[in-house]
Amino acid sequence: MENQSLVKMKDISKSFGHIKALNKVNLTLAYREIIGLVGDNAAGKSTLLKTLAGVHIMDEGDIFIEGRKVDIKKPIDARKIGIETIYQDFMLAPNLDITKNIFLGRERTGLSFIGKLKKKEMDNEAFKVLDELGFNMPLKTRVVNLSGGQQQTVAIARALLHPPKVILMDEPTASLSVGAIDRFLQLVKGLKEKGCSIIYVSHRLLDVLEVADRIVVLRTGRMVAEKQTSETDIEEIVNFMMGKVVMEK
Amino acid sequence: MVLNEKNMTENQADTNNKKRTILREVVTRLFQDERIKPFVFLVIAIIAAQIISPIFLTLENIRAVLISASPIMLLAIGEALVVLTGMIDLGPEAVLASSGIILASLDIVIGYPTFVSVAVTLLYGMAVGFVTGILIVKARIPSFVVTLGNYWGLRGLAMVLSGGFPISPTIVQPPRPFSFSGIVGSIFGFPIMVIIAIVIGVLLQLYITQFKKGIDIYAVGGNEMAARNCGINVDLTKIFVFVISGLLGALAGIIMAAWVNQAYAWTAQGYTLQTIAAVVLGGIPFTGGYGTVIGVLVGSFVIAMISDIIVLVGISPMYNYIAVAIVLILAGLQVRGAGFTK
Repeated sequence: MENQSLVKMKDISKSFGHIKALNKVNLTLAYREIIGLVGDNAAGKSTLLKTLAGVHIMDEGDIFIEGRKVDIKKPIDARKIGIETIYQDFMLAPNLDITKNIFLGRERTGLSFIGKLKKKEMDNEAFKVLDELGFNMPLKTRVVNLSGGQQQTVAIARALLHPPKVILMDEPTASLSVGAIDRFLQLVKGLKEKGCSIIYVSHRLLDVLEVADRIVVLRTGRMVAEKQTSETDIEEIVNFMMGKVVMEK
Repeated sequence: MVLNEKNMTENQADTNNKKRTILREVVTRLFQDERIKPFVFLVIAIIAAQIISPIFLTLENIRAVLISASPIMLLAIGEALVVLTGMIDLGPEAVLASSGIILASLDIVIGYPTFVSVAVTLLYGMAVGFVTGILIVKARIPSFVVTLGNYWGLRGLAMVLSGGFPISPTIVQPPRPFSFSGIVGSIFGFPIMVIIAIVIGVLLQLYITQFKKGIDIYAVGGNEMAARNCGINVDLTKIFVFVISGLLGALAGIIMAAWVNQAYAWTAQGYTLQTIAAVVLGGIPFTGGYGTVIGVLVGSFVIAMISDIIVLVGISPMYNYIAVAIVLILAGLQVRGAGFTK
C-alpha cells in the first residue's frame, strides 16, 4: 500500500489566455509522503496545487486518486475526496469565531431542510482537533483577533477536521514569525507520521529540504527535475530552478 | 509604621489601576462591539431627545415613533442582510412604492380577493429580489448599479401602472376599502405593524445566528473567496438576501398602503437613504460581515426619532434630512472607532 501512488496527476496543462501556466506536468504522491514543490515565480507550482484543490480547472490531463480517475471542478469536489488545502493567506473569515471557521462550509446541522446549527457538537469537535494541535484559545474568539500563527493553526485544524488523505500547503509559512515557522515544520512532520500525504509549496528552500521526502522542480510550467531529498542539496535545486542544469531523462 | 503606610498606598494605587482598567475595558466594549453599540447609541439618543423635548418619553409619543419606524424597520432588515454580505440595495423604497401600486391595482381596481392581491404582491417583491440577485451573480453587474436601476425602474413602473395618480378605495364606485386595513390596528394597545416588523426582525436575527444560512451570509461578507473555497454557495447566498430584501420591501408596501389608505407612486421618497442610515446606525459596516438585525431595528427607531423630535420642538420638517445627516456622521465615527474603515 505504501508504494502505491495516492495521487497521480497525468499530463496536466493549464493556460490563462495565451500564457501556458502548466505544460503536460506529471506528478505522483505516495502514501505518507511529503513532496516539496519548488520553482521560481511563474513556474506553475501554485497553479498545479490549485488545480488539484479545485480552484482552477485544468485544460487537459487526468487526475487519479488511489487509482480512480476523479473530476475536480470546484474546491468542494476536492474536499469531498479528502484533499484539503492550507493557503498562504489561510482563507479564513476574520469576522467569524474559531469554531465557525473550522467548520466553514461543513457545519453540523440538524433539521437538514433549514439547517439548524448543532453548536455544542461543533464546539466539542473543534476543541478536540485544536487540543491535538496544542492550541488553547476560547473558541468564541474571532479570528481577526488572533496572531498569524494562531490563524494558521485554525486553518490547519480545518484541514484536519475530517482526516484528509492529502493536504496541499501553498506558501504556508509566508506570514509567520521565525519561531512559528519552526513549530509549523514540526507539525508538518507530525502530520506525515499520522498518515497524511502532503504537497508542500514554498519559496523557502531550507524549509522544503527539512520536511520533504522528495523535491519536484517546476520551471515555466514544466517539470524539470524530481529528486529524493537525501540525494540533492540546495545548490542543485536552485540550478534546476534557474535552468542551469537539465535533469537526465 | 512608615512601611505599612507605603504598602497601603501601593495597594490603593493597584486597586485604582485595576478599577481604571476594568472601566476602560467596559467603555471600549460598549463603544466597539457592534452588537452592543446600537443600544448605547439608542440610550444616548433617548437621553438627548428627552432633554430637548420633555414629552418625548411619553407612551403616546413612543407609540407614534414606533409606528412611523415600522416601514423603515422592514426595509432596513432586508438591507441589513444585503449589507452583511458586503453589497448594497438602493431599491427598497422603489420596491415599496411599486408593490403598493400593484396591490392597490389588484385589490381595488380589478377587485381580486385580498389573499390573491397580497400573495401576488409578495411574490412580485421576491421576483424583483431574484432578478436583482441573478443580474449581480450571473451578469456580474455590481449591486450598486443593479439596485440603482431598481430605484429608477421600479418607481417608473409604479408611475406607468398608476398613471401618476394615487389609487385609493374611493376611485371605484361603490368604494372598495382595503380589506387588510386591520393591519394598522392594535393588539392590547400595541400597533400590529410594529409587532410585524419586530417579530420579523427577531426571527431573522435568530435565523442568521442559529442556522447555517446565517453563517454563509456572514462568511460571504467576511471573506468571499474563503467562503467560496470552503464550498459555500456564494451566488445562492447573494440571491437569497436580495429575495428577502424584495419580500420585505413588498410587505412594507402593503403595510404602507394600509396605513395611508392609498397607494401612490411617489410614496416613501428618501426611505432608501434612511434605511441605509438605519443599517449604519445599527452597527453594520459597508464592508459587511459584522452587525446584527436587532441593531438595525434599533437604528431604524433612532432614525424615526429624529423626525419626531423635529416635530415636537416645532422646527420646520425641512431640517429633517440635515438632522439625519448629523446623526449619521456621528454614527460613522462610531464605526470608524471599531476599525471598519475599509
